[in-house]
Amino acid sequence: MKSIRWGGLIAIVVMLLLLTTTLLFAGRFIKPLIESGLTDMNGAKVDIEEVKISYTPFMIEINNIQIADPEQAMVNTAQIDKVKFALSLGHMLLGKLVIDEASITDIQVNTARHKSGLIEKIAKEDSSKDDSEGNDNITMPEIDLPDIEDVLAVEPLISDKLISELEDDLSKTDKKWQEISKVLPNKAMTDKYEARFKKIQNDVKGNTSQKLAAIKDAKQLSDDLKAEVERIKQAKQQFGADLDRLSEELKAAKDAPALDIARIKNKYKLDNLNAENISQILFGDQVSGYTALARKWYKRIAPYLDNKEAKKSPEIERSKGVDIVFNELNPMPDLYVRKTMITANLPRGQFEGIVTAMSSNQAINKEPMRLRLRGVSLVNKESEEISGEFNYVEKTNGFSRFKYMIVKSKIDDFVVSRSSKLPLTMKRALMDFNLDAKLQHGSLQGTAKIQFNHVSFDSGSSSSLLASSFKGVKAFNLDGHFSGSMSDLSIKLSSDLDNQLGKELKNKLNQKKLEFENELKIRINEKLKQSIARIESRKEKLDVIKNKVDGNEKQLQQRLAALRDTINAEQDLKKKETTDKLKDKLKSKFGL
Amino acid sequence: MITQIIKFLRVLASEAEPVQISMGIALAMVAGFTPLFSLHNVLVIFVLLAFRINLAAFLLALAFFTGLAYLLDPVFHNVGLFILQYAEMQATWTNMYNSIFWRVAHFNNTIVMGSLVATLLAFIPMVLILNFLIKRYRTHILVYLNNSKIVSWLQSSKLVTRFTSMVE
Repeated sequence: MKSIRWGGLIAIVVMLLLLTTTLLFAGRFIKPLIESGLTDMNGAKVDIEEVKISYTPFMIEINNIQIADPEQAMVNTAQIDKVKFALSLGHMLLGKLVIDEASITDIQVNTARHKSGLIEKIAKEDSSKDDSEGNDNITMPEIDLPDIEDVLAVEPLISDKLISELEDDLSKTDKKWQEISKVLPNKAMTDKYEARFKKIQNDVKGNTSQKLAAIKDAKQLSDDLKAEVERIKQAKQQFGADLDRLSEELKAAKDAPALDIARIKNKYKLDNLNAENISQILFGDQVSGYTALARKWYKRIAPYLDNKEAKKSPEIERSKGVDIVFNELNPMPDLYVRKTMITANLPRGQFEGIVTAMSSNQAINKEPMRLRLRGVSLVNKESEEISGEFNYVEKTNGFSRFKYMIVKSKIDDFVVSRSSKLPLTMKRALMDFNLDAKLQHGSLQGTAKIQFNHVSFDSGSSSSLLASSFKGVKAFNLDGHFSGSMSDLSIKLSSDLDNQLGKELKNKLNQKKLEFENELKIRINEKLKQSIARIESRKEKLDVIKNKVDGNEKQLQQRLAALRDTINAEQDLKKKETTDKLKDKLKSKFGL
Repeated sequence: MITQIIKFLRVLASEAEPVQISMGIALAMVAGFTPLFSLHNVLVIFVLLAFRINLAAFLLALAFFTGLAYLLDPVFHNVGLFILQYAEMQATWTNMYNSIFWRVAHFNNTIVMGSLVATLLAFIPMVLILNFLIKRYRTHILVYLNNSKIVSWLQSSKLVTRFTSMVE
């Protein structure tokens, strides 16, 4: 007994007591450590009410976990009533967290916080928000026809220009004709010619000297009349050319409205109006919003999907030696949760589910992680189920697959578009939704199929053509195909809504286009009617002048012909008289 | 350094049993050569506290052997690597690897294995040799020194007295 040091033994007992006490109150000691670790992972505060540890069996129970939303200080992304798990103490001593069974009870989302959940680091980085913000400013396609008043106010019409030019031309022509008319024979002149003509007729009946003078006058009158006729002919030629030109210009002015209508139709693309890709425009932003949300969550979980444990290279530090690895009979990764039962109480209903084989290195436990969460008491829907497989057993060919299915979900007052051009709300609908996505080699591929039945759209007070077309839609589908990396995801949306709206819209659009064209024609014609009437009236006046000149020419020609007859008759008479006299003389001389 | 030597000389000159000193030094060799935070060192501490082993000798020797360990680590690594890779022993090591106790003991580390095997092999010879040397020191060298004039002079010197009091 001499060799035993009693003081040392007491010191050992005291140390063991201290160790036991520490283990009994370990919950209190590890609570801040867990909070700190989870806060770092989350990027915002994670608060825990209590951590209980029991050793037979070794179990940890964490009560009331509040996980703050990094983007909303006073909101919890999730609040979990209780997390309980049974740990393998042996594995824990080896630095591995192996949990045979865990339960996560009563998850709630978006609950209010009593104090801010932001941590200083996040508050500073708050300005650098990601691209998950939605956009309500949908740019609607220009499907409605423009207002005619607006169009006529801003559009310069060819008709107006041509009429203006025609009126100018008419004025110039009128002035020119007036000048020409002044030198043409008027009534006084024709009366004068008539008087000279009558005098010649009288003189012809007189004696020989009178007759000779009449013939001389007749020749003079004939020359004068010929000169007048020649001037009239030249004037007529000028009038004819002017009238032809004016007629052509008038015709062009009358045809101009048709050209104006064609040009306006082309400019405002009236023939190209259609409802193609309306679904992309309406639902594209909604899809982008969900994609941004998925990207945000992917960013958070990506570091845990990436198998860090597998990438760990062995340390060969001389002072620390090398850990030689032998075959394990039951190998376990650093983190392994065999089974986790989950219950959640969400606004959309109660859910229960199971997650199996959660592992930090699936290559070790050789089974993929699977999750299945389904609704048991749902609000406004028949069923909802989420399932996923995260298979990284083969590291080079690992993938994550995610399926989400909703059956007969009631939709009430779902705002499709807040655009001022097309405020559109889906008042009622029944929706079936199926999503199947696979992430492999950093590339996401998948499809989302949505079927809407019993649809009722409300476009508010909008009277646009597109808005009215939605009233006829009772059911439609929406198919999305996405592919690419999470940071550069390409999404293609297709829907029979485009076809449905297209048909409806096409009929209405054709009718409207016809009405628009007619209205435009009427409005342009009305605008030009007075001008055309005025032009026609002025042209008629020119026609009168021309007719008058024609009449004068005819009269002069008649007189000229009569004069020519008179001169010819007188010359024939004189020739006969001379011949007779000559015959008489010959008879008297030769006694014939 | 001088302090440590003086302290060590005092321990040797004390009334402690030679075996207490030699056990302290041998245990210090185990704790010093092997990585400090190893499971077997808990046993070393327990033995150290529960039995009358000279603590001063242990602490002095621990400092010495820990320093020396940095130089010997490559040797221990090679020894450990040889043992752990020894074909005949693979089944044993695999069984031990699948035992939580041995995994916690970190036996599969080359330096732990090499240094532990080396110190365990050296432990008993070390105790016996040290026992013999301490006894010889006390019966021959210490008596001779105590009787020598120079030691008597040093013991009476005020300078030495002040120096030793400063050291203490």
